[in-house]
Amino acid sequence: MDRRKRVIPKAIAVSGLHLASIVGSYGGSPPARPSDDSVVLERLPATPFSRSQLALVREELAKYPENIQLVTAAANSYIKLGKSTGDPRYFGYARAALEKWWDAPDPPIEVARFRAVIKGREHNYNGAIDDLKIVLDREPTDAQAWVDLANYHRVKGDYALANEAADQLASFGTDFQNAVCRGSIMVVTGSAREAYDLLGGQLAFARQEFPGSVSWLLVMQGNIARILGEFDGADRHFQEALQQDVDDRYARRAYGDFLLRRDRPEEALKVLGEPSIDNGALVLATIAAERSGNRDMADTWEAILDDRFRELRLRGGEPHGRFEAQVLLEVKNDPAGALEISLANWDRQKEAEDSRNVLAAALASGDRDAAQPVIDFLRSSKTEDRELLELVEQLEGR
Amino acid sequence: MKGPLRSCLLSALIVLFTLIFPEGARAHKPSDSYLRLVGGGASLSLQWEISLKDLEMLVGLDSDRDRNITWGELKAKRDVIAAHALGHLQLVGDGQEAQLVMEDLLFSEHSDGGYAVLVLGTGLPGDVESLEIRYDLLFAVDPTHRGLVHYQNGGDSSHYLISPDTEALVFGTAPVSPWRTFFVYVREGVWHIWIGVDHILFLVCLLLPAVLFREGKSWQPVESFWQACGTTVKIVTVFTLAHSITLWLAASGHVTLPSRFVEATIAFSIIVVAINNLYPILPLSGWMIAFLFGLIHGFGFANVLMDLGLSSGALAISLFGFNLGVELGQMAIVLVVLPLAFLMRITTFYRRFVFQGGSILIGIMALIWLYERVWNTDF
Repeated sequence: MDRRKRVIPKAIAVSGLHLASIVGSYGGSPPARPSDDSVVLERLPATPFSRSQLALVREELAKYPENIQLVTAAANSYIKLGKSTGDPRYFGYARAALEKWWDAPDPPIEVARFRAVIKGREHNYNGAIDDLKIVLDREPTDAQAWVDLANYHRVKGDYALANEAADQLASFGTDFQNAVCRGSIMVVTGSAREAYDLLGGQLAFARQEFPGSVSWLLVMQGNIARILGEFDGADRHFQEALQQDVDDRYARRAYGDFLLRRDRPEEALKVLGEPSIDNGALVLATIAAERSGNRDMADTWEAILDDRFRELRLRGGEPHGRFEAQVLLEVKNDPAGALEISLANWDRQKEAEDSRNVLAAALASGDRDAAQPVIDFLRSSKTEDRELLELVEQLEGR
Repeated sequence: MKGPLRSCLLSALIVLFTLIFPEGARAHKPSDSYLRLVGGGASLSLQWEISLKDLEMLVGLDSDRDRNITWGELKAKRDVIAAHALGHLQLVGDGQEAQLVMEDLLFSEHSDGGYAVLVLGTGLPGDVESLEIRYDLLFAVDPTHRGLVHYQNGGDSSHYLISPDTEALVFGTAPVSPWRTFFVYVREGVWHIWIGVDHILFLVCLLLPAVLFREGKSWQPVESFWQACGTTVKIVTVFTLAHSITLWLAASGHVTLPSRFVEATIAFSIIVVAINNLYPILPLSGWMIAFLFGLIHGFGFANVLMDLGLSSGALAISLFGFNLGVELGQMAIVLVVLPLAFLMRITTFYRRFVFQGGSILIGIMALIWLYERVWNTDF
């Protein structure tokens, strides 16, 4: 590893008060002594592995850092932990297990798979796509890798490339795999109705074979119904998804967003619950609290969001542009700032929320021209999304 | 469906879900630890905040495995924590290696959960001029971990980031020269006037009638520029005198007032002056009003100064600098407003639209501020 001495000249590092007023202190509560030994300071998430199991993996890994089976097992368990807890430090642990090959142009295929997952989590879609290509060069019938590849291209708005990946999968994938892979692209490229039927057609099979995927299919159907303006149907699908799995964070967020946009903030608040972990849900809940007149709640959550964003910046990172744009537009009433952030985010990813953020911010700030690339993109991809089309109409003054 | 294919597809689905909703990715921030160094005192002090989740992974805190980390469990691991953490931190001040000793263990919270606060004695003097930090906590198990260093000496603070690529972080801590401190605070003072619309409007409202005088029930333009100047100098001087008194009283901690009360009263002061311009009912002349409300504006300046932080060693310098900055900012406004007002004073336009219309507008604005500040809400 490149270890070099880093010397920061005082003149640059310290700009006196200005830095102090921007950075402030590090935030966090002032250090204190809890009143009693029984005070709970932290609740650890439930994990599929015990601490001793993890300790064993770590020790073994330290002894044999190049044993690919061990590396794979460790990365796999950490990624599972990261997904089940939502805590990114586990993705850091997984990355450490892969460290020897992290920048290698020609890593073992297992390593390339995990690298893609970790890079995808960090929103490094191009890096993830490169790693998936390494996997697919060597194993052209890896269904998972084709599904992922199509998905990253879709998130980036490269629908032709996404369809190419889906075409590759079509030659050997199962109906279920193909429906999930192709359906997600069809939704945003003018075939939402067909996608609705295609995914709905897999429900019976999914209930039988993959009960864990049912709520996802229902959320997809809810989203498609919403896109088509069939709001009652969408409502039903979201509710069914939540009945299927009450803890499904994605279902909660999708339904919460739907209710908020349908001007039902009180219901959105109930559905989103106490959104402590998930920034996306927290942003929606803050907006819902504000719109439904729960000012104290909105203020508390806004402060948490401010802290999280600031602490991310302190460590040299950036908050997710999608969330920051929503906060600026709908909580802080700063449409110009929201427009700037949402446009930068839209350069990286082009899902419906990302497009909506730009359109709404452009409308609020009166800068119609700024939204033109988004409008052109939505037109050329033949979007049927009712809410997006309404925003476009307002922008074009019709 | 056959076993292996099924498990393959299942794992495909697990990954698929996270991809379709990529926003889940940054639900938390990754792991950080915070090193807060405070210089300027008798010895250099250090507080090191490490996430309880990281400590759980490093040394194990949850002894009864109930997934709740209690204060009792954390305290019980004090020595183990100290041994592990101090093995990953080296601090050198002016070439002398610090003998790090854990003096106390406290608790704090950040946006991502609970942190253990290791209160460390360094054995280094508080006035070391250069510091070197070698830090490798967690890097071996988590390359995305970062060490965040915050050095503070009075109002002067600096901020650094340590990543796995940083072999040693070296930075200077020598106190900035008094001239620099002075300059920085002057700039802050000017800046505050520039962005503090309420102070500007209060002053403008007081100055609008300076080019006029009251004759019976109507306003007449003053004859000479020097007459207007005299009134202005008197108003600005007493305003300065008044707010300097309270600024020094508040900044030195002798008097404190709740900031909401201060902000609301500042808004109120603008309304009073605006109304008095339209209906001169107060038995007070401009300079008296300036003095009376100048006292409350001083508390407003003091609140800003408190937010900036005052370096204890250079309290007088920074306070004087800030005060001077405020006056310079104020002078700039006077230099723009007064000549313009003087030139226009004979016109009906000035008396009707600028003086009366302007006072009404400013009064309405201040009314909105008053409402917002009293009810702590946006209009």
